[in-house]
Amino acid sequence: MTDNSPKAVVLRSIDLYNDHPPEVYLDVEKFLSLWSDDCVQEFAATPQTPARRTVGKQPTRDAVAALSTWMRASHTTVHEAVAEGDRVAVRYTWTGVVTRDVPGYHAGTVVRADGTGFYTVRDGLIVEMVDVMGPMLAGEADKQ
Amino acid sequence: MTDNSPKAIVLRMLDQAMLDTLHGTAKFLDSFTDSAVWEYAPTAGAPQWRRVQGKEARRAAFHRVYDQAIDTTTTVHEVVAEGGSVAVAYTFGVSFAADRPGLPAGVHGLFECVNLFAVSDGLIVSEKQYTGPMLAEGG
Repeated sequence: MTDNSPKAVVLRSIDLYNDHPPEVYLDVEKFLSLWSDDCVQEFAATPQTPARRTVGKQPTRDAVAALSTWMRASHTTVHEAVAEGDRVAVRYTWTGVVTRDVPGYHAGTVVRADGTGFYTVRDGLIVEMVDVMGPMLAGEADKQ
Repeated sequence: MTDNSPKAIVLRMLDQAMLDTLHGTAKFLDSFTDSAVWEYAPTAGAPQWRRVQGKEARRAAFHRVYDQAIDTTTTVHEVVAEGGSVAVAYTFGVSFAADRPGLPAGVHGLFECVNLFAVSDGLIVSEKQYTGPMLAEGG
């Protein structure tokens, strides 16, 4: 029987995020299957990107399409997950592979970023995520 | 009666840390074990994980930075706790009497932060901190 606790839903969502061939960036529809249609995603500013807030699934599809033009093999490793009520906090390391030369990175570079996400889960779907991620750095994760 | 849940211990420590920056003390360390470990995720200015082990090392680092602080603020947005784990999302603000890298004297810098704590037997044994870039500044 499927565990639909908020923590299980978030961890399953991250499993789906990672479930794709390494030559592609992400299977966005598989990943979004555990998000509500009106989901809200908030990303705190990073050294490379301004803060942004999106509503619904389409902005994620658009972002993944843009990232897919120069990255592949997106992967998130969860180090810790803490749940209380409908809220789940996750500490993670994200990695990806650059597929063509872009400013700051050569093709083939593995990039990583360490971060945290706070999720809200209702009725088995993720309705909100607030993400605080560090700088995108060249090189494999140095922290587990 | 004092609430000694891990969440209450962490929130009391954060309140005390704010008072400490005003008074030049480091009483917030009373909430940690002697061998506690602090780890800091990479930032633009420090692109490697940093680690401080032991209360006395943390005390020295705290005084080195915050003895020059003239104002600090902490606005807690969210706390999630499960067992001995506590995750806190907050905005931290600080201004210093002298110029610091990226933060001129007297300017109040704001940073989005998330800290994850492990609490055991009423004391904090570890803290992992993720800090975003400076968000805004004001004179």
